[in-house]
Amino acid sequence: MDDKILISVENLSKNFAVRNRIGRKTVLHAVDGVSFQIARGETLGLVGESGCGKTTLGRTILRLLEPDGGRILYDGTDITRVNMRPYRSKMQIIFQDPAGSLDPRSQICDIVAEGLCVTGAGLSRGDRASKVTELLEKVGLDGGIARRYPHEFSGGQQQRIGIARALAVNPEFIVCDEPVSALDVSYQSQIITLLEQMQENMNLTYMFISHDLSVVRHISDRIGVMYLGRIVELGGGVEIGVHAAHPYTRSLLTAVPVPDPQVSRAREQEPIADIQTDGGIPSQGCRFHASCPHAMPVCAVEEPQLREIAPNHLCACHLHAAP
Amino acid sequence: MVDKLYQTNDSDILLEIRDLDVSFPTGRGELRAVNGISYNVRRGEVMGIIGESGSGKSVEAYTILGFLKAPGKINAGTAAFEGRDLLAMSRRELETFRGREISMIFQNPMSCLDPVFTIGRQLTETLQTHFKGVSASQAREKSIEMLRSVGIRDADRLMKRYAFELSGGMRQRVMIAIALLCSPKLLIADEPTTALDVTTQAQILRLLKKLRRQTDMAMIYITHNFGIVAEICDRVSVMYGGYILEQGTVDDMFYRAAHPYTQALLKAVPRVDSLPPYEPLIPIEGAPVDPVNPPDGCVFHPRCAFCTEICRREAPPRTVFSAEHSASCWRLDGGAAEER
Repeated sequence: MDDKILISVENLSKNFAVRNRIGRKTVLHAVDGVSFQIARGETLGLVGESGCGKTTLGRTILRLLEPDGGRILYDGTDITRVNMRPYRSKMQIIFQDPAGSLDPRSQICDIVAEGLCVTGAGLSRGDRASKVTELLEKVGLDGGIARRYPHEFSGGQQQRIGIARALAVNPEFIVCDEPVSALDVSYQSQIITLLEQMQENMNLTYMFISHDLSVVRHISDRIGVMYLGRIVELGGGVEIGVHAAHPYTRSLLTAVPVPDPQVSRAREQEPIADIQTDGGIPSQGCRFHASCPHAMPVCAVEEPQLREIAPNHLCACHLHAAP
Repeated sequence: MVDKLYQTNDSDILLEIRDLDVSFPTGRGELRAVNGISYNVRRGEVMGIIGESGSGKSVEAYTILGFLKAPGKINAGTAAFEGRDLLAMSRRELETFRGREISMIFQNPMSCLDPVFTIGRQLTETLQTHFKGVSASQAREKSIEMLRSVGIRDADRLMKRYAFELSGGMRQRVMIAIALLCSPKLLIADEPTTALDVTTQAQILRLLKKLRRQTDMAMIYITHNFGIVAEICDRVSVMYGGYILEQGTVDDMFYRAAHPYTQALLKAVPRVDSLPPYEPLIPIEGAPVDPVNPPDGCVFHPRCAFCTEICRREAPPRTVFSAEHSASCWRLDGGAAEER
């Protein structure tokens, strides 16, 4: 196995038992047979609309949710069933809602140092305090705020605290679950830049989950596009952002507003796909065929598999079937 | 092409806001939400108000509609809608005005849809309140027609359903249908697509553009998203800390931005269609102004890369570049900043 690969996910699935409208029990396949790898130091972006399973996928990889099928390999070791304790300090998460993810009754120093109490056992109280100050300064905050409470800070600052907490245990891999979606434009760019700096300084590996294609495009080396529990396209930034092959990715791209009036005037006549996501997963065929502008007879019968259509570009679509 | 729209005379002005000033008393002192802003909206055009949270962009719109609640108070200003000052109207007068002449749509449709009445009831009630003598069947017919025109296919069945049964995009469409039911001359849209998925957002934006072409309705579109501004607005006002820092056509804003804040915002937004070589994202450092303790001088100076001595002391005058384009910054004031 390639030793540069840090995270390897094979055929991963996660189901939830839910009740449908008439109260009958059904199974929701939130993540359904997903496979990909993330190299050390790389950022894999994950985009998709609400309900596509991107957050579930992130949490299942961290085993915050138990997978129902498939395997997760961390640095070559199968962690699908093991006790996660030794891995918790290597794999961290940053949440979307900065206020909601910080305990309102804890001081900043306790929030940031909580991980240290577990991994850094043996640290004296003074060492711990200086480590907290160092972490806060690293994420661009004043070390003197350690005795204050989360509500005293703005959303951007709270997100920085969340990042300091994740970094406290010296992780290698961080799942960033919509870390900038709740923030204003100027804070958004501050946090993105901070994450990029941290990655460079600490050689971090990110899985960056967001519904905002522009943000994902900016921060990611490769991007995976999810639709109803499956990855339908996976490739480099230019492959996905400019030369997208899957009709779903293309519909997403036409829908993203571009901050350039000339471009938006030129696109005025392009049709916008009417994407159905609440209908559930069709029993057979491609999951996207009902909303697809290019659907062919085969699409309703056979589900396309993710296959390489160009170097560093995978796509699951019959339009790009092997010759 | 867009610029042509503005070679028009003043009779086209639908809403004229002058020196609007709104504040809220708080325990820490007076919170200066809106500091003497002026702009106008012409018939059939979309004026975008762009700003971050706390810039005063929503407070300003709520004030025009008479939604400003105590302890908020209007210290000065007028908002003339077809020559009548909305701020001087009695509550009674405003009630007949709102919904019929001016409508508003919000970020969260659940906040304006009643959970205990059917969608149909809420539409027909709106019509019958504003137009006496409309029969129940006429109201129903008109409501279904409206739902269809906002892109709801199954309008008949939807009339019998409740808000909680609908998806986010559907609720937003229903809210737009209610807002447009009485063919208002002005629609105020306060981030109506923020909570929606991109494809739904794109559909709602298309819909608003289509309705506006068909009915010649003017819009004030409040947002923090530059992509949406490019997509839907004709003119833009950039707000920060309760001031309008720059104003102009969309093209002025994107291709000739003059104010350092506008320029910085544009550099802080990533683009999905970028090609190498990539330009780095340049964040705007610092935090937004505290409206209770605003800085002296220019409101943006603590975060401005070009801040000079005078910026810290005195508020900058407005520099006018064209009939539409103006900005308030000492740098633009004929080199005055260097002289002093």
